[in-house]
Amino acid sequence: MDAHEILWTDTGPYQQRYEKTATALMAVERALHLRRPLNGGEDEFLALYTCLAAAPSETFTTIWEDPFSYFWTRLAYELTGWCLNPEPLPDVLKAYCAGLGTDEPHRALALHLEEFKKCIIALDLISGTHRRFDRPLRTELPFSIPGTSLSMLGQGSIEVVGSNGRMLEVVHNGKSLQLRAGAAVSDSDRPRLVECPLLRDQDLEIKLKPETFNLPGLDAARGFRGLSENYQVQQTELLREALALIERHQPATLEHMRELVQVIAFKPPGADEYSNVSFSDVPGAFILSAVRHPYWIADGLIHELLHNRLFFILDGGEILQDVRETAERSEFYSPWRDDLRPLSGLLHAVYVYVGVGKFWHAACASGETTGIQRQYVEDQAVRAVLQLKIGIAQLRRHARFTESGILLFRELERDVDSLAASMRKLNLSPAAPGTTARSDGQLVPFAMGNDGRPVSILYSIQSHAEKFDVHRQCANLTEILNLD
Amino acid sequence: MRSEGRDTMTKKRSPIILEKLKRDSAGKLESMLAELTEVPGKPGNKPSRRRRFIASGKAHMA
Repeated sequence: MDAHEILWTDTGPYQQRYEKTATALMAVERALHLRRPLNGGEDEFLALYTCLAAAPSETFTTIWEDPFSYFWTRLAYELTGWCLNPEPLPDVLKAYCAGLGTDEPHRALALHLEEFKKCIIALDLISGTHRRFDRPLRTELPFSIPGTSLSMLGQGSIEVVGSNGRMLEVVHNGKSLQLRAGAAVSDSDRPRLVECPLLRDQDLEIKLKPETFNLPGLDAARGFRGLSENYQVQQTELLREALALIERHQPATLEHMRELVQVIAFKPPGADEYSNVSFSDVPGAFILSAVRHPYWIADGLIHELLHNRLFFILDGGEILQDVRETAERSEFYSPWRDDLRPLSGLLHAVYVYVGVGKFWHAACASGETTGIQRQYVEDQAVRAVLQLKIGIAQLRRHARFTESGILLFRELERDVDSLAASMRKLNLSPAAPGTTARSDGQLVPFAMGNDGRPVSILYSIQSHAEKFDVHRQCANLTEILNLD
Repeated sequence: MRSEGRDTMTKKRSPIILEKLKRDSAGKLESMLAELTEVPGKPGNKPSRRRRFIASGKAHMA
């Protein structure tokens, strides 16, 4: 397989990663069965594992491709490994244990095995099975039921006792309740089973389900606090418009979205410190700011899809050397960020901006926009090329690549050269006025210069480097940009 | 630029069948089990140490 296929077209890594995660699940089960680190505390999990393993393969796959299943399995693997062979606990695992309310890994493993019951709840709701757990699942609301469009909403803690056909039996504030999907409740704090909005477009099906990110140790759910239950459904038209742009300008991306993206959650642009975010531990899901501009959303969709795709590619083999957990330092200038970044961050940025850059160049070539919309599309097309040249120069100078990584990096260099050639062919100029999208979706000049006129795209790139390249790693910026 | 046509794409993925996976990935399963259960320092697959990554955009929005 050539480097282009590996980076952009091959869908093999998706299947391989889900299979690898299922293999890790089997390894966890066997390790717990053989070694019993919880002295019998693992028995209910082992019994429930047998039920999930016996499910029809389509049902198992539906549950297994949910982002929660990877998150759960990775932590189960690490916590089981830690309990059997203790060694210093990584920071991420410490944060997860703290999120579960303990700093003791055996207790954390016991609590984590309980969370597996969310997969069993999904299985029971899909198959209409009656079940009572030996111990109720005690967890925090809201939570997502993996592999389904269902979430349990509400506030506070809840105990899920079992399922009764299509209903869940729960205890909330000492009161027993039976929850059926869609049943109306008067008090928004009360537990209830709701279906999330689904976006269906030809073969594409995406759940708009912020509860997916309500996971211990993950702060991502902060951005959804106080949102109305209708917030996600209110974004579906914006999402449809963005998908139509992608279909027009980069149709192959839609195929990858169909294969890879399970969940999107929208948040207000001003909520939390980030705009959009993907987590390698929650693959197939991402959070987008609902900036009311379809081109901005299309850019965000491609961007986050490619972060997720790169997680899958890297799972099959690293591109950079020395990127094991905790081994990297954030000390490299990035033209996309105000803070210094690790090389793996720069690699992610280069990869996703090559893909996003191709979208903007296709939009430019179509000639479909005029006025400030055209100015914005041109800004993004040119900005991608200039920033990519800096990102490539940083990686070329500072990174050490694996054997296969050398070939993939060369392909990325060729991609950036192609985009630079496309910029010339489209007569796009770095001297054009810089244009950006405000959080309300309005397009405005990137910044005003001392002469009261909008600064150029090139000037904005140079100014960023002057301000944030604190180690002067790109002191030869003119040479790097090579604009003659 | 090179095109990324649909012709190179595969269609929907196959379902995951655990029993089949257990046979087809026996080596990987044993390697993972070894990493979980054997004493530290032995060679084995180390998926648990793969770097986590949070790709968050701190957008320069006006």
